[in-house]
Amino acid sequence: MFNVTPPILPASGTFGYGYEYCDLLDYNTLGAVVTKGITRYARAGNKQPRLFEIKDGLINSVGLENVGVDFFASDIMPKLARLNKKIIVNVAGFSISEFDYILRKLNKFTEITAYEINLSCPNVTEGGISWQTDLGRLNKLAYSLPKVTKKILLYKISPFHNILNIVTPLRDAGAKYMTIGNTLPVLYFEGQDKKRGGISGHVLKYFAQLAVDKVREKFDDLTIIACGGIKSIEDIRKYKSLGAEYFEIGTALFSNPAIFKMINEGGLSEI
Amino acid sequence: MLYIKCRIIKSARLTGNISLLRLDLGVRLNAEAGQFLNFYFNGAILPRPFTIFEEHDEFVDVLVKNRGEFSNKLCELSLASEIYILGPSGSGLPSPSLDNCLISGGIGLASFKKLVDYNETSKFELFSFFSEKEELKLMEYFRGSNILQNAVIDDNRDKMIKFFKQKDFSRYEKIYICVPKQVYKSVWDYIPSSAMVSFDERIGCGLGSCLGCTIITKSGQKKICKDGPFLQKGEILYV
Repeated sequence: MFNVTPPILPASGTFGYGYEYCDLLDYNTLGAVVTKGITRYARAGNKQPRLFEIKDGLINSVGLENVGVDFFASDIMPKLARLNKKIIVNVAGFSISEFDYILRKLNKFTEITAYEINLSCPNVTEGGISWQTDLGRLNKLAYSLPKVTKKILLYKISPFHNILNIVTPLRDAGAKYMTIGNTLPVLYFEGQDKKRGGISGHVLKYFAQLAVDKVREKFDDLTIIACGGIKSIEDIRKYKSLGAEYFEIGTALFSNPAIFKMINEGGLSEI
Repeated sequence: MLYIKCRIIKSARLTGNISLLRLDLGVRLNAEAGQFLNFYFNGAILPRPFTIFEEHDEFVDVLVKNRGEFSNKLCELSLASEIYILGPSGSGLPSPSLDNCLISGGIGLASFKKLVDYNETSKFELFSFFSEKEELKLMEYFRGSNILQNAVIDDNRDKMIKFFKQKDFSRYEKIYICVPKQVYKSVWDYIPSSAMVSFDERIGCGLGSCLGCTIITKSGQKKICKDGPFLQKGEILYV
């Protein structure tokens, strides 16, 4: 069963591999560490610029830069093991066989309490979006992953208007945990150049709140981890009222590195 | 690395659009030359980086050029106003040799202050390009006997670009460059491979975790906020 205390977590992509904040944060203010997306092979990510600030949010086009699962297993996991913290590894595969490889590679690490299956990274040209638009393929993935691992599987989805079309085949295949939601795909202009990225922050909150509400309305047996624009204890209260039980904080960490401490001290234990 | 609240104890307008801010951090940072602080203020999503110009015990000075809403409002803050900073960020400049060339555009010379002050036995030839005549005042901070100054008024960057194209860098053992991104991109082929160039990318987390500021080099991914902002030109695969 998924159980982390306190019920707040960093959103994948904002917290590095998980050890980078050691000198700055009290890790007791987090329920677990969530790593950035790990892929089968190392990825260099997109060219600069990768960040585009807007008034109420952020657009990023990092492009799933990461060291790849082999290096992650050999060099990064020993560092994470020393944190004495539950680890959730965000996993991004471009095929079922890639997910299979990554999970089998990491299964041996008892520190990893769950995999967060990244179905929705909008910054790559393959894999990310296609999982959520090809529901047959998605259903196959959801049936195959529990055969590869006994660890908990959280499915991270973008808060699209048709989220129930995505959640239903996952639940039919036995999925119990949903992270709602990842960034939403957008197009923006950097000067004269058009670019695609994922939008996050305050503006995402309204999409994510609707998505959480829809999923909870339809399914009362799924555990929902809310993610999208959380920057205050009030945001958490609202998501909780909609049916979320855990909460990921991402973009807000950039404008306030002390946000986990602030939320813990702002009455989290009473929620 | 610290994330702390600090007070503005001095805000001096040096020119029409450049100010010096002094912050009381309450602690000594002992930052290295070229390191910077990330400023959190005005509800901005991303922090803004400012080079550590000088330190006086627990006080830190930064130079701020009015470029937009963030910097404008920062310079308008009254004394005793409090803001948050994260730092010191970046890896600092490598030690200079005996004969060094420094090239700066505008307040880019802030990166070199600690370098020249803490290396009195090294010689520095400083080439500073300014868009307005009153910015020449900044050269007063670089009057050490180990510094040979060359200041140029260059309102459209033409002179800076021409300088790079024509300059013979061979007699310098080390070269440090802090100029606007559009300039270093346009003169990239004329910058010596050994030169340390300050890269200008948007900062996300400020401590090397979000990979928002990564650039790709021959020896792997480098994060501007942690491995930079100065990186060796010859290492960079593309700008």
